[in-house]
Amino acid sequence: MSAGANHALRHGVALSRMDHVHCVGVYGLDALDVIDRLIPRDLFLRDGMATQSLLLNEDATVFADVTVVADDEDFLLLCEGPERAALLDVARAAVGEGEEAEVRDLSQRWGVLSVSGPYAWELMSVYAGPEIVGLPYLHAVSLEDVICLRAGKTGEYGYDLLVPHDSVEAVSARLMALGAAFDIEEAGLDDLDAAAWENFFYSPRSEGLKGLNPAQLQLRWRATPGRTGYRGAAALNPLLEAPTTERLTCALPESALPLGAVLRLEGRPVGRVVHTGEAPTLGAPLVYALLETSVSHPGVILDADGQRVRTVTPPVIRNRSLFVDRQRHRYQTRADDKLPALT
Amino acid sequence: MTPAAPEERAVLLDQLRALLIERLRLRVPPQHIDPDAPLFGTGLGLDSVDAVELVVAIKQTFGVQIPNDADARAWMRTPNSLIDAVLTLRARAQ
Repeated sequence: MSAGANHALRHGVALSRMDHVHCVGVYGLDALDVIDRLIPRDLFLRDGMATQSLLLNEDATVFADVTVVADDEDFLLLCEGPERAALLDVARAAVGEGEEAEVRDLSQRWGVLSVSGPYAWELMSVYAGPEIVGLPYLHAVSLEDVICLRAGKTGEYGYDLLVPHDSVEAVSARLMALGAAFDIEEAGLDDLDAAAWENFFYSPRSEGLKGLNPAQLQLRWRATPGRTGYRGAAALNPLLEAPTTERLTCALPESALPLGAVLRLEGRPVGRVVHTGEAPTLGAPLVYALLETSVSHPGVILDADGQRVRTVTPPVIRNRSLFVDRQRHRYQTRADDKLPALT
Repeated sequence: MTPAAPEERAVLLDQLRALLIERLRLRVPPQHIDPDAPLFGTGLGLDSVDAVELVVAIKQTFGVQIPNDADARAWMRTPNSLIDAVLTLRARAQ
């Protein structure tokens, strides 16, 4: 993790190579049927719209974190988590016999860059023109040979750029050159993950979260209750219908805690730490705990071997992007704009 | 954040879920609304028109007025952050 990258993500603009994102295309007249067999969420996407969902294992644990982008009658899947080969196997297995649909690995065609930060929109307006500022969240637009999706998992403005592989270096260099006026920094995967953790965004790279299902992860919103026919539906639907028994909860310990640490309330075990790390903006250790639902509320003081652990409402920071007004504020005037402190 | 017992927060969460379903017409069962799920955008899918209705409904249900200021932007993010708002604004009024 880099302090400079985190500062850029939280105060200015950062550029990231998203080589961990696998890009898969689903093409053909029956593409929607294939997507319906993969995704636990009803899709009502017009051309250029996107939504966040999941791919599940048959036992309803999370297989991949997915953003689905509608491209006319076809779909792009931007996936994080599994190896590319395993992802393609799952996607291709969803194509029914005789269906007019094809799953293509687009990772050889597109490279993915991400521009993130409270002033990412301003850099993008210099790069692509002022119209880009009006691009709604989870919408995509074509910029000549680049597809620009407004998305992001850092709590700040974010733009994912799908760039032809032979242009990635040139686009990256241009963004870094234009970004000099915004004190741009490169942010690596560790920086993006740390920023995501501060904002309670799911990351498939946390070992402790593997084996959990959407009901435990507070990701029910990425599934539609009652839907059937997708991978993992038989296991997930009973979980969605039942009351939650345990829930992922954000907490601040006094000092770092190990993965698996048992949390107690008045001496009784009520859960365990399933993710542990540092909240870089807060400058403090941060954990996610899987707690009994009855105590999985903010403001509960738990004990971990004599150490106080306080559950909190995420996100643990006030993202600057919440307060940056694209009509009035500019990076160059940030000192005079008197925006609220991040912590 | 104004402290509250888990039982008090659980009651407020149930009331807020009912409000979101009845007033904001979310077509999901109550338990489907996770307390840290994003209210707007991709999460529970509310939009700017819903935000206005939400402020009105919170005033009517919980007796507190979400102010139109910087605090409100942070409070309108998730069910849990809205419950923080209700508890904080009630404490300020006492």
